[in-house]
Amino acid sequence: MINRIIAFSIQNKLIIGLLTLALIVGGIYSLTQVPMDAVPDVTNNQVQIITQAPNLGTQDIEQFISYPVEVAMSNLPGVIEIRSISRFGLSVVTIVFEDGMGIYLPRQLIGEKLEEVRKEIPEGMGEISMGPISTGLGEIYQYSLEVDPAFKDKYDVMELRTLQDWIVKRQMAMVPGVIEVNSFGGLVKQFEVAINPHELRSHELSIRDVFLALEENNQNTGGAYIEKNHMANFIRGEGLARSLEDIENTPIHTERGIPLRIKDVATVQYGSAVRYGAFTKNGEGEAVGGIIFMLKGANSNKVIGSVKERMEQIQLSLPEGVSIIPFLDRSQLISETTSTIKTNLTEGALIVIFVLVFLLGNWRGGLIVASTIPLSLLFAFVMMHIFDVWANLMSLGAIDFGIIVDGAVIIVEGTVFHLHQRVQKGKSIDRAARDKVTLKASSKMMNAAFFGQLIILIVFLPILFLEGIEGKMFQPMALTFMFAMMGAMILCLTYVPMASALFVKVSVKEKASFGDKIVFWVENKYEKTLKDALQKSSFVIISAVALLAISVFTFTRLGGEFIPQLDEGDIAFHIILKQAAPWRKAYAPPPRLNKYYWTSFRKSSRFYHALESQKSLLIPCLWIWQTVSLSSNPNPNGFRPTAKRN
Amino acid sequence: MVTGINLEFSQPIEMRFNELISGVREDVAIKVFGEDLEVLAQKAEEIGRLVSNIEGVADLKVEATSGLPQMTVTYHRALLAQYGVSIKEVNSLIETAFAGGKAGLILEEDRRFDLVVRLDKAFREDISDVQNLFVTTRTGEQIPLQVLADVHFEEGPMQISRDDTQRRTYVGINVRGRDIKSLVDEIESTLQANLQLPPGYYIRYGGAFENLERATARLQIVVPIALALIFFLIFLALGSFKQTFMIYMAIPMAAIGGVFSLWLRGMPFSISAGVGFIVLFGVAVLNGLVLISSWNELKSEGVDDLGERIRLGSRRRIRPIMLTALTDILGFMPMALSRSAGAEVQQPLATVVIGGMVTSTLLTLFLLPILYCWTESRTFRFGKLGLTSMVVFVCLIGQVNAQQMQQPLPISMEKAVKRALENYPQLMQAQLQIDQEESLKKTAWDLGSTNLFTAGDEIAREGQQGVVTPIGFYQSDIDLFGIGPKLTAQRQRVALSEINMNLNQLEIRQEVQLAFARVYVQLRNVELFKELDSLYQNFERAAEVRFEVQEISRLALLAAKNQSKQMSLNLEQSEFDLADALIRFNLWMASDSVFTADQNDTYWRMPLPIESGSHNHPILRQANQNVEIAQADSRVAKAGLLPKFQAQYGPQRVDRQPNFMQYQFGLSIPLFFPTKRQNPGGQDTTGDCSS
Repeated sequence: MINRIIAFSIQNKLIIGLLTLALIVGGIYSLTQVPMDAVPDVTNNQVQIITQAPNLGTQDIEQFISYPVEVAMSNLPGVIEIRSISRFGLSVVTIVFEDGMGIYLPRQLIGEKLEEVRKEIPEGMGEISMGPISTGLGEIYQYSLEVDPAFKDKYDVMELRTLQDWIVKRQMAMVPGVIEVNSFGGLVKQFEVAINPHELRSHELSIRDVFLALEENNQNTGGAYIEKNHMANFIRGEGLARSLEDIENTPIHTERGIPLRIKDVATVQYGSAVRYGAFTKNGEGEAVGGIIFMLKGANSNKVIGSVKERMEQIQLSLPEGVSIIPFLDRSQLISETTSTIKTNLTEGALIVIFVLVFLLGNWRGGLIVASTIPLSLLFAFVMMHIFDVWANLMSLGAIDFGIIVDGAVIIVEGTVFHLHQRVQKGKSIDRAARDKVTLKASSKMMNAAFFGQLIILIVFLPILFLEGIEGKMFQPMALTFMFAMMGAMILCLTYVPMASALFVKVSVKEKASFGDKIVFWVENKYEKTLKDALQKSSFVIISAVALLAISVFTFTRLGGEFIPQLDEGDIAFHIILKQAAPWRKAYAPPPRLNKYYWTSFRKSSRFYHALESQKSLLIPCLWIWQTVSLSSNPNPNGFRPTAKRN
Repeated sequence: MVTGINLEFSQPIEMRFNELISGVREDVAIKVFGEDLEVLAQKAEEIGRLVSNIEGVADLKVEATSGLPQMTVTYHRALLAQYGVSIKEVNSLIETAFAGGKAGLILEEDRRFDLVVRLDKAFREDISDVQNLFVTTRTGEQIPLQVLADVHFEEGPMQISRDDTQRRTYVGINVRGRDIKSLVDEIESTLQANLQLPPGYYIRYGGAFENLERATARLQIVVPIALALIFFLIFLALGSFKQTFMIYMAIPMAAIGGVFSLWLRGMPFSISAGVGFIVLFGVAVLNGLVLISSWNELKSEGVDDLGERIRLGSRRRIRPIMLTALTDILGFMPMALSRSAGAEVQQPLATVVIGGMVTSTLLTLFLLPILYCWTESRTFRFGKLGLTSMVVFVCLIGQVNAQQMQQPLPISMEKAVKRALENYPQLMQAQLQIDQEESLKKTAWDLGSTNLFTAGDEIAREGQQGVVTPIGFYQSDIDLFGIGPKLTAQRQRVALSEINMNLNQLEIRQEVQLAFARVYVQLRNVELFKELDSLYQNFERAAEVRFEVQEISRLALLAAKNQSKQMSLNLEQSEFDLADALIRFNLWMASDSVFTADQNDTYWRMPLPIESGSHNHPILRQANQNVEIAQADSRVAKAGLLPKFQAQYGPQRVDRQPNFMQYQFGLSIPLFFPTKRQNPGGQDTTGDCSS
């Protein structure tokens, strides 16, 4: 059957040519559609249940919230692992599901259970909610709001935080692929009634009275409508406090005919919520920023593109002097790895082409084989698009073209050889004769080559059965490789014979090319050595066995690690303060540390110093941790952050 | 350096991955599970101390679980009751005063801000502020909090972690300058030796390291499957075990190169490298396939000389082999040497494949011809004993995956017959037949079919029911007359099968004896020819000597040589015959071991057994028996013409009055019996045939 396909291809060259063109077009289209990312997403399928209860201590959180939630979730189908962390005011329960459960089913199951759990938790003890649908790869874009030095005094951190919360965050809504925007840093604006307890006491009032007064004097209402002049005039009572003055003038109590107002016992001002985290930049005081989380499974390049577009629009609506500066942008890593992939592929292809043309002795044949490289790659893209396989460093970076073109090499080489023989016998090599020779040579060689390619194809099958993280990393690679091999096999049966029959010319001249001379030399050398080896056969075999033994021994001495680390170009490092330092001291990094950063890493890097707060829900972190993100821009001197390797 | 702090280095994505996947940010986590927070914290500290000095440990971090400074307010309930203040009131007071109580929302256009009430900052500085917080009692008085409660500093737990619903703490370690596996092993042994845990507490190891274990376990399943698939495919392509094995040798050769290249580059084994090995094995066999197929091709074209074939085929195929190997190796070079972002993951893969291809190609080019030479030339040089062993070997392959060749065991004829009679399948079949006929005897007792029924009738008027049989029992077709004949018929059948069995036994006995005799004769033949052969070889040597001293002519020498050659040919022939006889003989033995005739058996001295009376011959008896059976069957058929019985009984109710009953007995007589009538005739005919 193989022979029949080859014969068909050689006889119907036009059809094959058209099909090849179709492949090229389809391949290029798929290239633009395949989702791309830097690394495969290897996080497991997990959902976080987060509860904030600012008035509960650690043990209470554990007993009243974490434990009931854990127990309720432990019987759900498909649960692999349950972890929880209980802290002052915060409980995070992480539930890991089997991969096959999908993204939404676990959330639904949990949602149903949460209803029951809510009833068990005493009232007022915090609100339970599920974390966003994102993964470890979800933090695609982190930015800070920076103030132009000229306007430095106009905006303080509270103002910035308000801008972040109410302008930037809100306008990021409806960007496809963005599931959540978290703010951090700065002060959350509140209208604060700061009570002076002595004043209060002197009027014999309690805090409760103030509270009630405020509650009762702050509402709007509607009173339906009165019809007049055939028009309905709606009645509306405006009682909402709108400003600090309104609040100040709210009465609490009337004492001997004189109303006692809020401003008599308290100062009304802009205040902020009690902080559990802060954010500084470059060691220069506080800053405000945000993190954008991507929906699990979305195409990160596309999403970042949309985010950047939206950011530009948001920038226009920010007041003068404030700008959004990103400091962690996933697209950077993606483009770096993409360029790595491109480099690998191009270099690999070029080397293979060069060797082929050189040693094959027939540059046309070499080019035919070389052309199968892009063609099989395009075929792989088409399949990747159909089967929704991601393009990333692992899947594309690992393609070895030498293996893919093995089959084509064998066929073309055989064809050239047979044509040579024919020429040397003096027979003609017109079109018909070429067709015949190609058919004969291809059929003969394909039977060996076909099995070889089939073997390579099948050898990748077991890789598809890896699970977990290594499965997620290597399955795309195996799939891409298999697709490329399949493409190569199909091409070997159709395109390669056709092209060889059409284009390969063997010159009648006796002069061998340079490549030929080398091959000739190798052949002779080999023959001689082979003869020697055949005579000293036992020696050869014994030395082979000895080498095998040594290698087994060496293998046991090799260490083992899981997967080599991807160098992301950024460092995250943690400083843990042994004792809970008071706030104001902790958030400004000790000046000596500052200096340490600057001298170890050159000025091309910026660093951001975040005391992680409660509000960034995906990263529940104790407030005594300080995370420093160093993002280094590619330095022309080839700077690599080396702190990791200390 | 700045004291009092711990530093920990990682990378953003890596950190997130680690944390999300295993709950810890570090590479290795030593988790301690238990009940009491104090004990857990203490044990974690201890582990931290023990482990910090091991090489490769970096960024040691003990999870901080306690040490959260707290100002704890402990209420005196009696006093609270005295002043008429509820705990809820005081709680919410503390909350509002210090944390802030939300009293509403302020809307600025569409922005919403909380309206919060709390104490002024100046009054939220110190523990004394808490102590002096004024609480309004039931009577309207205001008293400071410290009257009602005890406000003091106390350390509380900072964080409580749970894993699979158990409390735990952990010690986290990042690994630097060493591979993970050996580090974990060392930690394990250190802790085992030096750490004491109270009952109910236990340690687990986690972090990125769990993945390595799991992945390695997977690989250990996956890699053999890959190897088996490769073997199967090569066999499919070539159709010869020998050749498949030879090509398969490329795999260990490839592994050598892979391991060495990893070692040279100082890379540890990782899952990346493991995948590289899998790819390598697939590719390494390609070269061998090309070579062997070229030799096979040449052989089919008629090149018989082994040396010539090897030389020609190898030379012809060196170019494609070199090309494919070079392109494979060079194709992976950029990946192996790349320094750009992200290349670290691919490097082990590429390194393994490159190293493996180098060694595999080299060794294939030299090792394979050698092996081929060996296996092919062996066919021409088999010695005499070797041949017999070969034959036996082949027999064994047919029955069992032979582990080693066996020497044939001598057995005497009697024993051989006995063995055959015990094991031969045909006999077992005959025995089963007997058993079957025996069990069919039961069918002689045909008591008909049992029916249960319920009946009623139509004589019912106005509330009366008529005659109703609520349940009845009815037995029909009771064949009493047929029992006798049927039993007899069956007994005859059993007898027949016994006779059959006997016949089979005799047949087998005869065959085995024949086969045995043949083997015996051949053994003797072989011995004879061996003697002759050595005799003639001496003769030949003598002739040569005589030729050299010119006593006889060259023609005579040639004649002598000829004759000796003839004799050795005879010997070979007889050996073949022996092998043949052995095969046939062993078919009867039906066992795993190979038997041969015991040359000391003197069975041939015994006289031939001759039966005196021919009427005892088994075949005759068989025919007689068939006649008997036919007669019995005809009697059965006749008995079928006799009437059958039936009986019926059932309790009844008439007009709802119980305690009535009905009964019925009857005969069923086949009056209309064309079919029944013919049968006895048919049986009689069968009987005549048998006679």
